[in-house]
Amino acid sequence: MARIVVLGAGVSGHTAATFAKHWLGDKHEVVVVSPNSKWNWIPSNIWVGVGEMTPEDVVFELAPVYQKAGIDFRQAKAVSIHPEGKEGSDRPFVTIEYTDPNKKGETEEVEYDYLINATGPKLNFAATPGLGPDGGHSLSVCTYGHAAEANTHFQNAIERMKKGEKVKFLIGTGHGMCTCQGAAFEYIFNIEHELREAGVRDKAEIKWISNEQFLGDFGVAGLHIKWGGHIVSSKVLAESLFAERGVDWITGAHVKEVQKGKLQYELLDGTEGEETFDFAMLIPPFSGVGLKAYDKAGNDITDKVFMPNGFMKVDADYTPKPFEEWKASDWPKYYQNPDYLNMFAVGIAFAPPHPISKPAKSVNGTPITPAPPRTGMPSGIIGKTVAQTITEVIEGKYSLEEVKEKGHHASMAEMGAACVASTGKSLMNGSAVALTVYPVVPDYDKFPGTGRDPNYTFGEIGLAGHWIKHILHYMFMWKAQLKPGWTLIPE
Amino acid sequence: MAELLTYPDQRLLQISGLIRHFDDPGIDEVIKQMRETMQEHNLKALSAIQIGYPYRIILFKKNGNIEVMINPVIYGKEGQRIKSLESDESLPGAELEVERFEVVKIMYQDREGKDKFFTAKGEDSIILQRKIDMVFGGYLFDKLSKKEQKRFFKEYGNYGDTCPTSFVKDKILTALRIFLVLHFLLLLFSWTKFASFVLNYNTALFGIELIWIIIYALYAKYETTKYKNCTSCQGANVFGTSALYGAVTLLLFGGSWLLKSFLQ
Repeated sequence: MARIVVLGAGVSGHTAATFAKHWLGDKHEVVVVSPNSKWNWIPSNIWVGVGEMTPEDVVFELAPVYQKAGIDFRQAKAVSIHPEGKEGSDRPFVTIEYTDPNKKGETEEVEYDYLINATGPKLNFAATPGLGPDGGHSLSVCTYGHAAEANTHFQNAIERMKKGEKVKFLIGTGHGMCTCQGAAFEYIFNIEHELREAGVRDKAEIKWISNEQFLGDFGVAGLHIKWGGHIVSSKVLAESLFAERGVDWITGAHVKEVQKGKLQYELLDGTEGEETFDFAMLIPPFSGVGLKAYDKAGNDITDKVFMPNGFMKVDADYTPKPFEEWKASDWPKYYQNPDYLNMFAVGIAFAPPHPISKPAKSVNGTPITPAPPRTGMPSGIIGKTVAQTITEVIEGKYSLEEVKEKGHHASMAEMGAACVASTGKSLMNGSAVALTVYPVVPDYDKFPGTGRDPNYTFGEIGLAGHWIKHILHYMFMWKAQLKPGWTLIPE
Repeated sequence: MAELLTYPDQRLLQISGLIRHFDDPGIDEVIKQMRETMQEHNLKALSAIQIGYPYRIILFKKNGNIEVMINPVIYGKEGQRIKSLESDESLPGAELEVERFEVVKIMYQDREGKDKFFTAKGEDSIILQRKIDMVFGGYLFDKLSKKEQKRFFKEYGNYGDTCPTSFVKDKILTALRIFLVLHFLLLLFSWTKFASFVLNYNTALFGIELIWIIIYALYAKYETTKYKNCTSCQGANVFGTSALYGAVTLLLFGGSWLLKSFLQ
């Protein structure tokens, strides 16, 4: 009997764990270690953040779902990985610390045969002084709790505006190395929409601040939209959209510090600026969750297993290279750790070889480059692919050493992704932006110029985006709860 | 000297790619041709795509010198949005009013690949915004409102006239909408002798409307496949629209049935 331990129950970890159990059945064991008792459909947090959905609409309890599926669930956070075991035992294990209220603080060693690291990111608010809702001066929509808190402030702002007060909204990224511009983009247009619905749009000043080099970069070097009968870059679309909705913007900005009601930023040209606000929702940069790794003798091998940013090394080419030498083949295909072959990392937890957007530094040397997104669709696909590979290894189809020849692969340079940015939640009116991009990571050798296949990289503005977003919400909540037919729903 | 492309040349519609290899001698050849074209036509600025090279390169006359701007992006702006009446050599004969930023901050690389910054004001700002738009596949008419754009296409011709300005599927839908509104109005007056047929022929009407929706869905599917280059992501749109109209039809059918039972 083999045991797979999955660290994390987000999109990627949950997909990996549920599929592995589905394929392997009762003959083998799947253990999920997650500090959260609930699963959260993160894309809908945007709607929680403007009061269109409640936190309860976007979460469900994991324990009953796992119990039904026969997955051993431990509500705990992983503290360290011991891939060589310890003195007296060769069996690798992870040390976990319970967050389950009944066992809070207790630690345990969980042995594994195969490990899937799907811990996701640590929301690194500490990277920018004053950033974030916990002790800082800005809000976030990265968790359902944060989104609900943002909504409380938002409703409060609407009340103030109804009394005639002017309110300034500042939305975007809170550091030069952030990812997830798409979420902030969706949030700003939901805010704008809700303010119009509430009849107080004229009392609001709305401004975008981000680390993108140009408006419409989205952390993926921009993409192309069919617009007015021909293909244009998302730059042209974004500029039009911002102008049409009366939303001002600052790009190429690294937020240096957030204070009460104002923030300081540095621009690409090295100049500094200050922006005031009454309401600020700024996405934090992500880092690894701070897992440690130890060898058999108990020596710290964290540097060997993880990159300095805390994300796990996998089969990517991490050699530092200038932008012109970046290749699609630098990106991992199997998500297998090169030193410990029974360890895999999926979703945000794997270390990307480099960004997707063209890197930039300010003249003072501050990096202002979006980090590569690895959330949503790619993250689910990667989780399922790794589960498939491990299942086949357990079934004896090939060995861990042969994964690179025979395993299933899902490189982000061979994978497309779709995303929908809503402007409100209405089924009857709105103009959502629906985008598909292929491949996620530009392949400049295969598709010279933009690195993308123009036939599969496109977007459209229209109401259908809202319908898709609604469908996705209910479909994924259904799927994640393993309700009938869940395996048929794609990632 | 290279040919200066004008509408509706398909080569203008390509998206320009980032320059990654600054040691590529091909770049010098493109720049040389751009320089010659600029001199020949006495232009203040030129985007490489205007002579058919899908590269993110702009040449711009600054203080009498020609500045080579590679991979230019607008990372910031200042001042108000202003109305600007513009024409461009790529769009001969057209003069369009568009909105621009008063001042733009541009980052680009020079021929050696070094990062450079330039804050453009006044006329420089406007012409550079137009040329940078071209680098990203955007032209003057992309800045117009949908209504103005329609008028523009009518006057100057569509992009190679490959994309229709109106689709048959939309016409089928408009006709269905009128039919449904009529059906609804007649239903309101179904207690009169004149309109009572809507209740008597309820099932037949339901059948007609359903078939109508099916025809719409099939034709829309055919049309979006045919004009793949003009529109995209329409699958969900067609599906959603059909479902919505299906629901309306069902409501009318159910409502009529209830009404009929009530009246009898």
